[in-house]
Amino acid sequence: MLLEQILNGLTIGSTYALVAIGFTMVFGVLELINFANGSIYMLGGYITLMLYLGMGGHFLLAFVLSILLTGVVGFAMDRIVLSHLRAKKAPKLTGLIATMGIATVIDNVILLFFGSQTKPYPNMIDFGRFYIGETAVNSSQLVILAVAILLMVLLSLLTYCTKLGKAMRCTAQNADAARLMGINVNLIIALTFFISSMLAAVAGTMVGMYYQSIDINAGFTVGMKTMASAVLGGVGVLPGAMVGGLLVGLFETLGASYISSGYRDAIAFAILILVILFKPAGLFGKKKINKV
Amino acid sequence: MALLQLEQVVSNYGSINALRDISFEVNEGEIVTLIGANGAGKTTTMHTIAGLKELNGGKILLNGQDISRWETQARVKNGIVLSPEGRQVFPDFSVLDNLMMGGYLQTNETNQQTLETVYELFPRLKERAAQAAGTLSGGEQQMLAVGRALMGKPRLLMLDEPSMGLAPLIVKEIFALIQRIRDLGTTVLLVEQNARVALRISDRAYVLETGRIVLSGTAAELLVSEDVQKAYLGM
Ligand SMILES: Nc1ncnc2c1ncn2[C@@H]1O[C@H](COP(=O)(O)OP(=O)(O)OP(=O)(O)O)[C@@H](O)[C@H]1O
Ligand SMILES: [Mg+2]
Repeated sequence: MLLEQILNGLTIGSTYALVAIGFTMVFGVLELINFANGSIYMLGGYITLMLYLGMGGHFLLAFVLSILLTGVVGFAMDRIVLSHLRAKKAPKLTGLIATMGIATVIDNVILLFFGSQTKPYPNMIDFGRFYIGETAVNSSQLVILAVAILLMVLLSLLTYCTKLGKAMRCTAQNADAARLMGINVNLIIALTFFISSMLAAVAGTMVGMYYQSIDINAGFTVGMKTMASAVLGGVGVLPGAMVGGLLVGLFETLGASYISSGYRDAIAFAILILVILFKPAGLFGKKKINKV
Repeated sequence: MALLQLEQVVSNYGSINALRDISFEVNEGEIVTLIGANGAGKTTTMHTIAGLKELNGGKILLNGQDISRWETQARVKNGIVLSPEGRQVFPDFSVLDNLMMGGYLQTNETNQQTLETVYELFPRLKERAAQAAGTLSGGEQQMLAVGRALMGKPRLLMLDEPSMGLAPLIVKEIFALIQRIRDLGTTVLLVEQNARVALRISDRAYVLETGRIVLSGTAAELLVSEDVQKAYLGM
């Protein structure tokens, strides 16, 4: 029973981690809190569903297209709105409010196209359940964990071992100095949005399949929880977002089953508040965050 | 034709006029120094040439080509490289990674070659290749900033106050290196508070006062000019 709950928690936590990584990457390069991240997550889930139904059941193709399309939405969000604010040297707060505006637009477009009812979602990764000893394991969980771990490894390689990753980290440390190296900082930022939105689409789709449903409120809750995950791990630090996401998933699942399921969402934030009180920089954060 | 030419360059921060009609040139193979008091506009001039700061009037020409509207990365690609005021190394990166970022637009082979030259100029950087740049001493960071700029294979190397905060002995060392860098074929535009030392290694110089050039000439002329001696050489 406990092992099952832990597995449940890690499964959902790994999807939080994916979204939190995107959030933290954007914060890293821009010091911008992207409030639209949760809406983009939901958008990714809905786009996969729409393409899947529209293309008569080619799930994998729908999934891949949806990831790319959602990535493009993130990219466009930066190129069309945020990059102009930066060019005008608007204060950081303006950018933050702009992401709230974008979130509202995305939420309402989804509402317009899909309505407010909860929609059934096909689970394409359910190959049955089996037992390891006493513990029931669902194949969906294994697939989600495997995909999340694979993506985390890929992202770590991208960030720490490729030229693009180094350019991102330079931009995060000092954008003007990065420009002086010949780095196209605006492109790097837009690519960061692209990547973070693709991650959100993967998570949104997998969670839709896992719960076999998707609804219009998913974006906000997950947006808040992944922000909590990122802060818990230390904002701007990649391993922080990974561990933070897993922990939030774990604690809320354990809390829901051992304390009360009504407190599921509250638990994530209670942990967040505790961690901020005792370790303001987060578990992996190096320095105090005094920006924004 | 001059390598770099500024024609009546104007640059503002909102309603503050930082540069009000600046014209000067830097020829291939020269060391040219800008001197001026705090707030005169030296850093703004460098940033405007590098493309970090937008131009509000006038023109910047590189080999006769108007580059006023180019993005910074295009200027870097064409050989305009700035080692900024206050070093601005990437603190979380190792010395070697910082140097490699300087060669971001160069091929791997070129970087390997340039790296040898840089290590030869700054043996200290080679010793500390694996150390995080943020933990280097001020002087070492300055060497790293200059070395990193050299990795970009500059035709015009701009150095904004390379001696800031350094002990006199290291200042001498840095200036000797600037001369060597020029002798290796790089044109240098220098900004310095330390006017006397800078003028000694320069060919020509311009004096900036509240966004205007008020005096120019060969370095030797300015070293003996009474105005310059009074205002900048503390005589
Ligand atoms: N980002 C900025 N916003 C507003 N004003 C600025 C900005 N940067 C510089 N200035 C102003 O522009 C003028 C020129 O500044 P600049 O930094 O170019 O001077 P400087 O000659 O490099 O001085 P220093 O020797 O102190 O480095 C100053 O009056 C300064 O206050
Ligand atoms: Mg300055």
